[in-house]
Amino acid sequence: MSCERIQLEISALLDGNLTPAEAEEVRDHCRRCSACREFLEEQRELSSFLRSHDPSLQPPEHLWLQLSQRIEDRSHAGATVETRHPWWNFFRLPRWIYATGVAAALLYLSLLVFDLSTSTRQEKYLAELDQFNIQVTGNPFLSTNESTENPFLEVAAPQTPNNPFQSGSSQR
Amino acid sequence: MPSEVSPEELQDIVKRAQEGSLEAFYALYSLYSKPVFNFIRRLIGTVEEAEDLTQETFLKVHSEIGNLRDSSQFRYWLYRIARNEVYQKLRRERKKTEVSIDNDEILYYDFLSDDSPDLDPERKILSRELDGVVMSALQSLRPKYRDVFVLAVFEGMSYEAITRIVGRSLLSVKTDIYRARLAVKDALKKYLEKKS
Repeated sequence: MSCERIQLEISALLDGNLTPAEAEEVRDHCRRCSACREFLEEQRELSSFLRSHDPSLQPPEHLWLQLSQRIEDRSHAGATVETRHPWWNFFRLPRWIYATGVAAALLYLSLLVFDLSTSTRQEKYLAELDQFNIQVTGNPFLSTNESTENPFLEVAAPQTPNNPFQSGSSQR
Repeated sequence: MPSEVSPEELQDIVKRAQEGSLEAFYALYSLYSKPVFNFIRRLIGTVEEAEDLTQETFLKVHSEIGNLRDSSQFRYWLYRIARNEVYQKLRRERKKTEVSIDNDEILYYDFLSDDSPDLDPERKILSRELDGVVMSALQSLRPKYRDVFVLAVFEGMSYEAITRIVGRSLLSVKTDIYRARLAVKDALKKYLEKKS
């Protein structure tokens, strides 16, 4: 390991965050490297100096009194401090579920809007088509009265062949 | 660091506090008010603000404890709330985080326990001055270095626990603590050079 890496580990060593094997590796390096050994001593002194010159203080007694008073005031004011198992906790779900729900709702809405606009357009188109059809059916050539009866058919209708059984005697 | 209760006992207390027991909540306060108060004090720099923020922290703990899903995570959760309170305060006030090392204002003398009665007055003054220097050195750190450094060096927390509180990777925490150590050393060195 490089000296820089070792010094990073020295910091962790002084904070008691190395495994015995890692700590031994650091110590072993320090035995051979004067710069890292010096760094270790310096940092050890620093930790000791900091702890001795910034001792932990006891929070003042009145802090709890004020705190408990505020808790009581909140309870009395109806601002429910008690949130042990409020009914709305039932709806507390991970955020991704809400996000998925919102995305699905948006997708549904957009499809609905698209569908509506499509059907409106379709209706409009059909209406236009109907109108066009009226115009088309208004064409004398396609009029139902006349068009079903093909004048050519009437003219070109094949003549019924003579029934030999009906007019056989006459033929004879 | 509170060590009066086992993890199982702590979980039991947390559960009772979640059920609304004020007695259990007081037990939690008794266990953690001192480390939390000192953690906040070292981050914010003054006793008065630390008192307010400690109170806000525990008030929030009281109102939100019912929503804590895993009672074994209480300690990390508590420190995270405390840290957030400090950061919110710093953001609100846009407090300058770069405090000069030779800042003479030392705001917590009255609260220091007089645990060295054998010291002569001159040495007492020097000792108190150094206390102030340590606090100023802490305040001179960037907040992201300061919180992890305070948790590791003063609270004696494992790096693993710190990662849970600050939400950063183990390597990031380790590196930031190392950098903080270098910065604090430099700050103290500058101060001592100036004095001599």
